[in-house]
Amino acid sequence: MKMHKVLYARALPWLFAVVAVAVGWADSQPADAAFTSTLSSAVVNVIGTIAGAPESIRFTGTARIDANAVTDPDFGGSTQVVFSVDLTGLTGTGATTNTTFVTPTKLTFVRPLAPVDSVNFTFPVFPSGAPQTTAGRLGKVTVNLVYNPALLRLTQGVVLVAAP
Amino acid sequence: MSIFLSRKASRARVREAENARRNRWEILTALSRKQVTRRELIKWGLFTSAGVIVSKSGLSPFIRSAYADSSIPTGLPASPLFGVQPFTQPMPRFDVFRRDPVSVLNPAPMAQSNQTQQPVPAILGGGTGPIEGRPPGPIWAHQRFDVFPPQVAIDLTNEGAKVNNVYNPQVANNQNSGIDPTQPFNPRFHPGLPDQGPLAFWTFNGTFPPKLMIGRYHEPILFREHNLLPDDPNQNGGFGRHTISTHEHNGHHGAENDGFTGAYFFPRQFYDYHYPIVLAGINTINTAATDPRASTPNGSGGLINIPGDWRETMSTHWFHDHMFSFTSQNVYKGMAGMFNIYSGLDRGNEAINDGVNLRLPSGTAKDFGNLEYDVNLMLADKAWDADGQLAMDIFDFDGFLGDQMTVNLVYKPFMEVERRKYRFRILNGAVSRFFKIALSDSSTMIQIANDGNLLPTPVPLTQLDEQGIAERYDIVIDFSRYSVGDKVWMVNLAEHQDGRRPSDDLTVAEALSGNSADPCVGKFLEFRIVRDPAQPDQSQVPATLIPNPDLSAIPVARQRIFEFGRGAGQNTNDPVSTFFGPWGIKTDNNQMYAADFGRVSAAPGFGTREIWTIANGGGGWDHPIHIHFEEGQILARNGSAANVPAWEKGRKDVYRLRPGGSVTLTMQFRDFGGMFMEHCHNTVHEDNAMLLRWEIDNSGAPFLRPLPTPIPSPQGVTFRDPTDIEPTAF
Repeated sequence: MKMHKVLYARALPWLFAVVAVAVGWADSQPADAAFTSTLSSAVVNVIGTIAGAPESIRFTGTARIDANAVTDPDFGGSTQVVFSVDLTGLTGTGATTNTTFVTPTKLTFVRPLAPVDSVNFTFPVFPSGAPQTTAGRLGKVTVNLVYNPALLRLTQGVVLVAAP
Repeated sequence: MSIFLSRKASRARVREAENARRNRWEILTALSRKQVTRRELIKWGLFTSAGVIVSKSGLSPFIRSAYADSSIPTGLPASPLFGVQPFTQPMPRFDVFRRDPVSVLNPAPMAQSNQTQQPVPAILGGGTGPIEGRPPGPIWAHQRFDVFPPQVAIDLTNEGAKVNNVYNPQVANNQNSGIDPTQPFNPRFHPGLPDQGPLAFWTFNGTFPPKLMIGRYHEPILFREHNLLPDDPNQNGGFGRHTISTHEHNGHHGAENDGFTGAYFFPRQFYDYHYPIVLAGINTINTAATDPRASTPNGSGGLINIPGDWRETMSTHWFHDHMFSFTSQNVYKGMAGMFNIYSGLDRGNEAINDGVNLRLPSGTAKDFGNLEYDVNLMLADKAWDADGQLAMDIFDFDGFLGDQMTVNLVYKPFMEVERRKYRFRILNGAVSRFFKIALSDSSTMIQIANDGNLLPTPVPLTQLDEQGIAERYDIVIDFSRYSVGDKVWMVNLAEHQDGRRPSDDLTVAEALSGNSADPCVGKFLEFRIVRDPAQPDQSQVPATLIPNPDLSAIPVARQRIFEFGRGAGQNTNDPVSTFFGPWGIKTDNNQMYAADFGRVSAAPGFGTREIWTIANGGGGWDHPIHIHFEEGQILARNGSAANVPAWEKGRKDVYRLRPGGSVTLTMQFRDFGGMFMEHCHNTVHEDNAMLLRWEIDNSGAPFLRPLPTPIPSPQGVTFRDPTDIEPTAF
């Protein structure tokens, strides 16, 4: 190794101090610890209304939630849940025009595993069959999740639809 | 826990953190100058085998503070803002590279590397060396140079930061938030922050704003890059390497133009990159150029048909340094720009209605490449020291996070917009940080492209997916829903605690609450709706964009598995091509290896199609994996096609694995050959040492099987046999 005294004037004391206690080392390092990946799902009945002009839209149907809890034994970090909320099973009906509305929304989140979690987000809705190339009208969904942290599994999901 | 100290931290705590930073800086400086290797630091125990700095007082930023009465880590000192407030400066549009005739280049470009000799300074070993750093000989000659002779020259430098007196945004001042391009543009993150010094910031032409290259299909570009960085590798401001290799991400061209990590060049040399800009499948599909959807603008409102598969049309690229084991430092230091590619389908003119043009938001004045309503955004987190100079700490092999958000290299700017549709080409230009973008009012954006490839259909979203490093998301926002005088902000929802992965995807309300310990969460770009458009908005978002190529009739020649994880071993010891770090890649269940660009890990046959599964070997990190050369299609996530979201159903070149996840994709290996790469684009992971080489070498002469490895030096490039060939490579 090429050592440069000037540059190392301050770093050298550490280097030697640490070298003195350095552990043996070879051209390999600890392999990955085995992580676990636990997938659980729920299909939730949903009823809710996006109120407001030009007309209220009442949504019914099902939302699917897939939750994959992934442990981190390598760093001892928190278990994360990669979960997706699929709202494509919802169908809305316009209160005035009787128009059918749909949403293409399926979003994915990565969150720390907690016994109880809640996320909310907006979602665009479009008349059925219309091109989904505009902003659409917005609804808001709140997703309440309950996990069994010991089993790393989703035990309950509640999905609420409302106006934003 | 945040890696950065709160701005409310005590003076003693900040002083202690500053001392730790200075101490680490000395080792970092020696490391960046190659006076000591990472392997040696690990041997000495300064780095743990996990790749993080040891918990030694005054050295690690994360051990308990001498002043602390709890387990709160000391953290890194926050970048000082010198009183600057967010959203008080306009966002500059990119600085467009001048396009010259090739005749201006002297010497004239050649198919093979120009090996004319020039003196080499003593600090680089003296003697003489070639003026061009491209490896010599037929293997590294520009492939099909006679078929695609360059028509446009972009003659640029790579040098230290200086004032820009020739800023060319190619839009009027009122489309650039009032910025007058005739005024000097200083290299700084904000007018209230210090200028970056020439050793602190290295970038293309040495200037801010970041550079934009304009190209169109079948108009080959000769990109001549002059390395004007300091001869002395010690003159680097503490980090960065003066040898460079520029990757045109994700160009479909020969490997000699790909910015191979081991084909780097030295100060005082240039490198000629030749970008033919052709559609994939040029040799086999639509060879008679009869399909008008495979076309390019002719300069006067019409089209020129071109050969190849129109479904392989690409739109948004970027280019960045790819220096072996120094990519993170050099990209962070400024070596990153963007490349808009125009075609008959995506021509950057929203008015031409020829049945081919998709008429996406752009403008109307020019035949192609209008930028008025087609906006490049380069997002990157940065940090700076007490003097305001760019700072980086590579001691944490998990990844480096800055504490200040920049857009187009300026701190939290505003952008003036009209009440109409805009296209934004969003690049994650960070080193290790993921972003997740929403608008502050949670309204809809329409994603039209992923990694620069227009999707089969647009996807309306109120928040984008996580965006890994190097991913490009093109979106359309329609500001006509706002009133003049309104404001709306782009918001980052992805919270990090370290560089391994996002720790939490926050809701919009959570991100706006100000409660996150991550200083890069929340608003980072303010849109000010300032006026109605002077002309009607003629742009469209068609219901159909570009469908995927149907590969079902093409046999699958091979399937391969690549696992990205920790605990890599190393079975080679080449002083130039071998590196070592905590990260590595396991190919086809062989041993997991750290990077060696002399090792051949895969060699798909020319003209074949393969299926690759790339898997995350752990649950505690994420990796955005980049495969060079040709776009792939994702077939499955975690083994299921149903897990592939709508915005990933187009073509891609960066694949985020997610913690513990996997991606199965298919891609073709055709048209050109040479040695390419596959690596994590968390560039700290890539540098330490999550990168492998694969090659296409059986398309006939001049290629050899396997290819010899280039070994650059200022005196010229030599070649060696591969250090290793993995048993399943061929």
